[in-house]
Amino acid sequence: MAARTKKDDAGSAAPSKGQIREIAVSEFFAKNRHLLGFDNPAKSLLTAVREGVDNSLDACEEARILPSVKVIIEQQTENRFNVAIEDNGPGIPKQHLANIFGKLLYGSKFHRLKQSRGQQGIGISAAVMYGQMTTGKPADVITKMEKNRAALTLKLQIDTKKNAPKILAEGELTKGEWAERTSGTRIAITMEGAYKEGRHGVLAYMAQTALANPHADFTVIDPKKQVHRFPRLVGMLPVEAKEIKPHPHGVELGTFIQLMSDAKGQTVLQFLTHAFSRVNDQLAKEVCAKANVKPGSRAPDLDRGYMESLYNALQATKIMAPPTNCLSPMGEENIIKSLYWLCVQAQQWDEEEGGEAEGAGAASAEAAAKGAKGVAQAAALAAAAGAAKKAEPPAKGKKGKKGKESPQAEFRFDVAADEPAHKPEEKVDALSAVRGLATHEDGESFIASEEKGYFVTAVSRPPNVYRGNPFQIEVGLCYATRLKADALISVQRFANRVPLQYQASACAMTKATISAPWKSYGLQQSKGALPTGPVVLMVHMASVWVPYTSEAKEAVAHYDEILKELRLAIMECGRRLDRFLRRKRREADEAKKRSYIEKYLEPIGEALREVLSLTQGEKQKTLENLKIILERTRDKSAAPDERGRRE
Amino acid sequence: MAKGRVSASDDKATVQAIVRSMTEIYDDVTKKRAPKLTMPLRALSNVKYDKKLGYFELQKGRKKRTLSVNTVRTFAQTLKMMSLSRDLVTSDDFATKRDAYYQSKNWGDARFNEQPESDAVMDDIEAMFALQGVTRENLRFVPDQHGGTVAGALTVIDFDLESGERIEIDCTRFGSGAYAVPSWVEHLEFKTKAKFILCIETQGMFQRLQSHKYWQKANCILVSMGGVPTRACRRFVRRLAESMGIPVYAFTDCDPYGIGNIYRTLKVGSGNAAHINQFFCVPNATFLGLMPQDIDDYGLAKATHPLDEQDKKRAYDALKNDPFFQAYVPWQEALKKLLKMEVRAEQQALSLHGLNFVMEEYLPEKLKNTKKFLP
Repeated sequence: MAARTKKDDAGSAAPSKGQIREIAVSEFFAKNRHLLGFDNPAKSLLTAVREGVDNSLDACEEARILPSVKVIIEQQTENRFNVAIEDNGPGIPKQHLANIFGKLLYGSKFHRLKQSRGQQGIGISAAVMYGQMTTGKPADVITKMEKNRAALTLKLQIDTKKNAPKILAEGELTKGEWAERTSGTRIAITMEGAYKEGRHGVLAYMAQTALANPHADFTVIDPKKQVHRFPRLVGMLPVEAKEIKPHPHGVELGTFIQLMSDAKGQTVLQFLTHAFSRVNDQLAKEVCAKANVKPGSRAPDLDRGYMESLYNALQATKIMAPPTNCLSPMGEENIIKSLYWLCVQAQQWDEEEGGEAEGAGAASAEAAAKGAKGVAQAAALAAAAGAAKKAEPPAKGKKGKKGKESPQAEFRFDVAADEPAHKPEEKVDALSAVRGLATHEDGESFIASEEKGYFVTAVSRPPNVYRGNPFQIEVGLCYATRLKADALISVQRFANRVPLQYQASACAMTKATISAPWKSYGLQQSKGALPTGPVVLMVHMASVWVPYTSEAKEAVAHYDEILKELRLAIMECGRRLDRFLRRKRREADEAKKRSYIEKYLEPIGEALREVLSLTQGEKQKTLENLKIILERTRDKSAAPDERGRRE
Repeated sequence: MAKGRVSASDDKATVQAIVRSMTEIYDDVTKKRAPKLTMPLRALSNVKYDKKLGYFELQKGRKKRTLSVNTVRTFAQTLKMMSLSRDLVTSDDFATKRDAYYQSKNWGDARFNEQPESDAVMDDIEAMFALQGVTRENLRFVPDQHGGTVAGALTVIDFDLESGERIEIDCTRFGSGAYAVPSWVEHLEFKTKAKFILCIETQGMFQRLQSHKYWQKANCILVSMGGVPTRACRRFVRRLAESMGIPVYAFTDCDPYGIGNIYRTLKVGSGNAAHINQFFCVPNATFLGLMPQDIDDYGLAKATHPLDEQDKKRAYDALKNDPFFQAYVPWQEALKKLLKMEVRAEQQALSLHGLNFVMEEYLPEKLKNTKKFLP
């Protein structure tokens, strides 16, 4: 995207001769900062946090370290904040240090096909630039790579004219906290901003990030110095995504020609087999034959017309789908744990003092539950649309004002009850609280309690391909009676574990959700709208290249293959919800029937006693027999439903 | 006070029938079998119309209420109601439907919440025992709706409820009021020289005829049915007509309800009361008007209303499902005519031609040719 914008700009500048000169990408973005998400103070702050957290998570995962990320937001003046993001990642080698934070479009992720959060390497340096522009302050970086080496410190700015870092100070830390640590990186940026609560606030974003990254541990210290923790729920890192070569069917002609021209010293045959996945010698020869190109000719020297016919031949040939080891899905079990922890567990504890973790069953869960109370509430708190409303009752009123985005975008785990005070410092063993949580039956993973009114399930679809790009869809569904029942369901959208917060209505995920027949799954749904019910739906797309509708990375484009996979996963979750709701209804009916029977046995016995002059003993015996008879018919009447469940 | 209505032997039979039913249920329960209550199916689909017999005859269709979770409440209520009936018989008392409804408030959870519920259970019990020859009166249940009002050249002979003294009630001497038919009519005797009985649908038309002493002019007895005639009203008219040997003419609105519900029920009974139709209908009644043809003949088009959806449905139902209308081609033609005209006319539409047109022209003209009345 960056490259394209630059070209456009140069083009439009062409008529004014004499002043034509190259524009540094940093210069361009300095003037067009909204393109990078720095359009208003509140969004700028959030964007800085997002970029920092994304970088930290990517870095940790690549180094196979379980991420622990800390976000500290300090308010210096009314509209000036210091935002620090700290991780336990591998640290950054000295030679890259300045460029990573001080040069736009510098990164390891752009030129490869591998599932990762960031793609262009533009985010964090843009945050540095934004801070520098609004406050004139340099960014502070600390990084450490090995336990026995000193941590490096750096004060840097960006020279926007040159798109290059400008180092103001360099140093080493040998004392204090950093001396103890094994590795890690901290970036602190002073910037103009506004700390917002609510669905587009930092806490809501962190809760969403926690939802999609149960293997990470997050701590947020807000400007009021309140600590919010989102504990690690899974002790294993996600499967490492492998880098793959592009699939021939996912490459556009221009790119193809470019790649071919760059293939110095390679024959066409070599080029085809080296540059792309799933192209072997035999297939390459076949394609060459179709295009009338000699496999042995030099690739870069080929005539453009031949390049094009080669490209067309490639597109017309059936080629095996790309490998899918480039994907790192969350996994059904992890999704269930995440949803359960954030949407059910946290809130159950509000209600019952140290109540047992239903479904987890294990004694450890109960013990953990007691300790986890405060933390869980912090999570719920952050997750609530009105966020942090505990401390400030007026926050509820705020919610009404946010009319700009469609309500579908709202990050909403709304709870009807008011949250009690929380103690964020308490330690929690969330890991063991959710261990062995999910039940597996007939290939379905879920946790459910009809009694307590919750049901969590997840579906990971097998990988599929759109335009030669492998992708995988995962959907989690959490139904909990403690969530708001009379509001539209909340759809939490994620791409490569990154929350998508804006443009919900333009997103394929929302479209697929709306298109599912929710009425037949037991929820209400108006035409063309999300269904209504106490449900949080989590939709995740993992892909080497997520097709966003725009460079803002906020909505997934409507590719047929993607929509189809989304629908299949959502509908499977819906069907499971339907079965749960039916089971729940049936159990309620059962209870009702049982009490119903009890109620009317006595009058029957009494009437018989009156007319037939039975003794009390005979009447008692009659009542017992009646109960036996009725219990028998009750079982029979329950049978049709049971059949319905299995279909 | 119920004395004189039900004989001691009837009472014995009633109690025996109740005990028999209860014993069957008790035996089933003891053997851990689900007990059943069997009653006739009271619906149009379970009646047959035979012109010679003259009424809707109950067929073999039966409804079984087997004890189950879904029926346990009604089952309990039915048994309690039977027990109530037994109590009424042994204490020689009676209960109206409303009384029974209030009695049920002592039954704990089995109490009725609304009277229609208790009425339905009572009708079920009545139908159930009708199969064994036990009537509602035997069960000591009496209706609380009145049975219509009567005016005209008729003397009704009743008994004083306390002394048992004979009382002669002169139905010409009610001034601007009228004689109210009691809910129990079996003991009444009659004296009259009237030539016919005119059963009128609406109280409004009855008032007009009564206030002008039309009964004197035409030498007849006027009965106001007030909509679909009650059992007591049907029974009263039946006994009066049969004991005095005079014809009965019905005068209702010209619409599917007046014809299909009011007149049909008067003449042959109803599906719902199928088990007692034999006694509670007036098979020799004929239909004076308003006939669909009258709308044309008397130029009433101006005074009509369009048939609404429910009216049409009623008419189609009558043609399709009602054995009475299926037995008479002239009635089918009349209903079809009505459907074709798509209008209905009330009795009082005749006021279009003057308030007394009905007395001075319409009825006299009609009565000149009673052969033309619809069956």
